[in-house]
Amino acid sequence: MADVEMTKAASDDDWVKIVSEDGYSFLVQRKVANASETMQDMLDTSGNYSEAVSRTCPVQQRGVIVEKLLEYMSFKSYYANAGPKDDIPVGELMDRIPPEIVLELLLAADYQNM
Amino acid sequence: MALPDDRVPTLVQYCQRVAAIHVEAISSFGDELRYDLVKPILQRCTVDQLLRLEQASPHLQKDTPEIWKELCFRTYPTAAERYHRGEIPEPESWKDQYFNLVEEEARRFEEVGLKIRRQRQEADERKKEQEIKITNQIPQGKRRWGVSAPPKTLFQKTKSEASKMQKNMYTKPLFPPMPSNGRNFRVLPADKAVLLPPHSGETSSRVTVNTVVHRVSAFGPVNSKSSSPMKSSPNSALSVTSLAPSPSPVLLSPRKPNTVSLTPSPSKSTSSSLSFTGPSSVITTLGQDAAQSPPKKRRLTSPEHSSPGSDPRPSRSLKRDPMASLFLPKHRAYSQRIS
Repeated sequence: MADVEMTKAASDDDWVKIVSEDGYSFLVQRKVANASETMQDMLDTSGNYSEAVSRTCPVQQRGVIVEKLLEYMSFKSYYANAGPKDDIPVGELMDRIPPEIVLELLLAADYQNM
Repeated sequence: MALPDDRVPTLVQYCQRVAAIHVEAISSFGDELRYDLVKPILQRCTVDQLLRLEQASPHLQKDTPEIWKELCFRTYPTAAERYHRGEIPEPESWKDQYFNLVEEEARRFEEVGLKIRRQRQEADERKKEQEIKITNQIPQGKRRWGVSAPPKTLFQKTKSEASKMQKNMYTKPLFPPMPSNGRNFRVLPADKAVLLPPHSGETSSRVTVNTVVHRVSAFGPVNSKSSSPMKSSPNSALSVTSLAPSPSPVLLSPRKPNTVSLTPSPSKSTSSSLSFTGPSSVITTLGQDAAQSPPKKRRLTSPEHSSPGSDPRPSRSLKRDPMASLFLPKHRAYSQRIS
C-alpha cells in the first residue's frame, strides 16, 4: 500500500538547510528561518512545497549574501522576545553590513520580505 | 509566533540606511532595484549624484520628478513659497525647473556683484581725484595777475579783517619780535674804547695811539695786491729796524666807517703790547693788516665783551618810560596793530 508521505510536523527545534546558488549551505534552526516570511512560507509543513518536505530552502543569491541574510535573521529572532526594557543594539548590525554588498542585500532582503 | 518587528528594523531599512551613507560609492542601481526601494537613498543625494544615478538607471527616471521637486523646495524655499501660493504654474519637468532656478540665482548674484563692484570703483575714483598727483605743470593760481577778486562787501571786509587780527594778536609769538632798531644791529659795543686794553703808561710818552676804524670789506680787495711781507706774530719785536714799510700789527677797531687817520711817529717802538705803533707807510698796508688783526683782536676781546655787546639793545629800550606801559591794554588796540 502506497502511503502518502506526510510531512513531518515541524517544530521549533528543527534544523533547516538554506542553500545558496553557488553551493553554500547553512544549517539554521527553524525559528531563525522563520524570521523571513518567504522562507517561513516555503518551509511551512502545512503546504506541500518540496522545500517543506526536504526542509531545504534554496536562495538565489550568492553565499555571501545568504550568510548576511541569515545573520540578520538570527539577530532578529534573538531579540524577538526582548522585553520592553531591554536595549537592542541596533547600530551593531548596521556596522556589520559592508557597503560593497549592500545593494544586493537590499534586493535579497526585499525578496525575502524581511 | 508573532515576531515583534517594530523594535528591530527590517533588513530593507538597514540596507537603505547603509546605502544612503555610502551613496558616493554607488555607481549604479542596476536594473533590478525598484524605485520605492531606492527612493530613500535618492532623497539623500546631492544634485550631481542624483543626475548620475538617474542616467545609470534610466528606468528610474520616470519616477524621479518627485525627487527633483523635493530638491527645488529644499534649495530655493522662496520659489517654493511662490509655487505654493500659486504664482508659478506646475512645471513640466521638475528637473528643468531646478536648473532654471539655479540659473536665476547665478544671474542675481552677478547683478549684485556688478553693482557692488561699480560702487567700489566709483568710490576709488573719487578718492583718486583727491589724491596728491605728481605733475610737471605749474598749478594755476587762484587769481590771475590782471584780474582782481570781486570787490568785497563791507561785511566781508570786516569779517576778514577781524579774523586776521585774531590770528595775529591772540596767538603766542614763537620768537620775540624784531626790535625797531634791527637795522643797526651790532655785535660789538659802540663804545670802542672798551675794546682797547689799557696801555701801559711807560709808552705813553712815546707813542700816540690812534684808533683806526675801517671797514674790512672795503679795503680787502684793494690792498691785496700790495705785497708787503706781513709779520703778524704778536711776539715779534715791532719792527724797529727802519722806517721801511714794514708793517706791524695795528690795532683797529672795525667799527665806525670813518676815515683812517694815523699820525706818523718815530718808530722807536719798544716791544710793547700788540697794538700801538704805526709807521707812516702803514696806511697802504692797512687793509691787509686789518684783514688779519681784527679777526685776532676780535677773538681776544669778544669773549670778554660779549655782555657789553648785548647791552646797547636792552639799555636803549630802558630809556623808554616804564610807566608808560602801565596803561597799555593787554592786547593791542585795533589802531595799534602791527600790519
